[in-house]
Amino acid sequence: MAESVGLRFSYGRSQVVRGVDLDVREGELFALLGTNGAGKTTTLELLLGHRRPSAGTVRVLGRDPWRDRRSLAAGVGVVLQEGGCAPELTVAETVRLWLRLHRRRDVVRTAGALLEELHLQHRAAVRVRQLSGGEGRRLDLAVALCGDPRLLVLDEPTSGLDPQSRAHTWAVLRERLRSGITVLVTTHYLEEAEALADRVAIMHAGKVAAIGTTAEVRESGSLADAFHRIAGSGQLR
Amino acid sequence: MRADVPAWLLIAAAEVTVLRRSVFSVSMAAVLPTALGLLILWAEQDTGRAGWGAAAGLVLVTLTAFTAYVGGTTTLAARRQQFVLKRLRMSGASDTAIVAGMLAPLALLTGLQTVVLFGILAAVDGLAPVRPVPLLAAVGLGTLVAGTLAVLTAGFTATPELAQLTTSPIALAFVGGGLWAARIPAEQVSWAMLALPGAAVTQLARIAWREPGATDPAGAVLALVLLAVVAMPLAIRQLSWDPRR
Repeated sequence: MAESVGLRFSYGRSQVVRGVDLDVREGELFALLGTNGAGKTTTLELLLGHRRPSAGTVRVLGRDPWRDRRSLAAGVGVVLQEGGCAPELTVAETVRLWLRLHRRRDVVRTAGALLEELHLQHRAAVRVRQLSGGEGRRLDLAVALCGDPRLLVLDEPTSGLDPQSRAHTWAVLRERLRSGITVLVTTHYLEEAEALADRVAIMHAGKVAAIGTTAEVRESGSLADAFHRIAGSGQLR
Repeated sequence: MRADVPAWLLIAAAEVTVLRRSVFSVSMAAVLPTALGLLILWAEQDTGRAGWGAAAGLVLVTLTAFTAYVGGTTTLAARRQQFVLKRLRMSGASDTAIVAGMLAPLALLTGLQTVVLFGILAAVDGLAPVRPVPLLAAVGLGTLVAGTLAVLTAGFTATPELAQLTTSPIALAFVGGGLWAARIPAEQVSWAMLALPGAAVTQLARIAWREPGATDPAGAVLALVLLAVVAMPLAIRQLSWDPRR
């Protein structure tokens, strides 16, 4: 579904992605882990065609995302770390806009169903800027699902959510996985990645330091142990 | 709304909603240029020095410079800061459609302001344009060039607040070009002067009001079309979509 080989990217002289090899397989939930600044978000942006790699190859749904960004939009749903919904539109207006941009039919009914799935139907008439952080993240996920994508790319979708909302978001993702969608997600919540991901990759200093099933990566200890061993950092939740 | 509505129109409709709810932005974009335009018309009525064609040209230059250009730059910088531009790039819409959708409401507002001010001019003084086609060209092409310059300026305008500074040189050049052309007889406006969009817009307005010596719109139209055709693709290519770049 998504793969990269020898992927590299620099901001000026600072190389932030230094030869990343990834292979996200159809129907799996793949978690990309790493400390802040490890290169996760930049890697996702390269996979989405938002940045042009300085070296290496990328294929998403069989296409080069830098060249085919527009045609990939129908098959790839995205949650950006920063959101990106217009603050002055209401929740319902936002979802309907994105359904229309994705050429979906029966927009009003589909928007209602999406808002219900994400527990946002009671906030439909509220402006985006008035949402709580958690509600905003759920709206981002609703927008990502508007194109009925085959692949979901989610950059910290549960960041800032309370435990209940996090559990609900993961339940939504599990349900979508059952219907055949593939999910690539970055998260800081290692226990969630351990419980929910089929495979994980741990990035450190712009490289993939470990990749495999959670059992393969954690070896004898927990995923957190493996993470700390690789990243040598105490800044994880 | 039907599912086959073009992306730019969907984005424009959403942007109209956003602007409608931003009272301060709308009042700055709508009221200030209209007031300046009224001031120019009032001054011309009082002094009669520039001629109605040149005065109408200066009104148009003021509207395109402040509503379409300054407003357009501010809008693009604000939507980029909110990550709206970056998000929209993942919608399948082309870059041109996103930019057109963002700027279309301000282009429409520029057109409405023109109708209001020239409507007042026609109603109060009975001074409707004699040749409407050059006037339409002045409004349409002037707004298009202002939009192009807005995209270009947004490329180096990090925040909407900064737009007040970054737009100043081009806005002044826009208005200055109009004043320069308005100060000399219409037949003496050279090709080099028409390269300034403000001068070209003013010249077209003078032709629309059939001022003595203002007859051939080809030079002004060509200058504005060339500017838009050459600069728009370059401007869109250099526009940054992500505030962190």
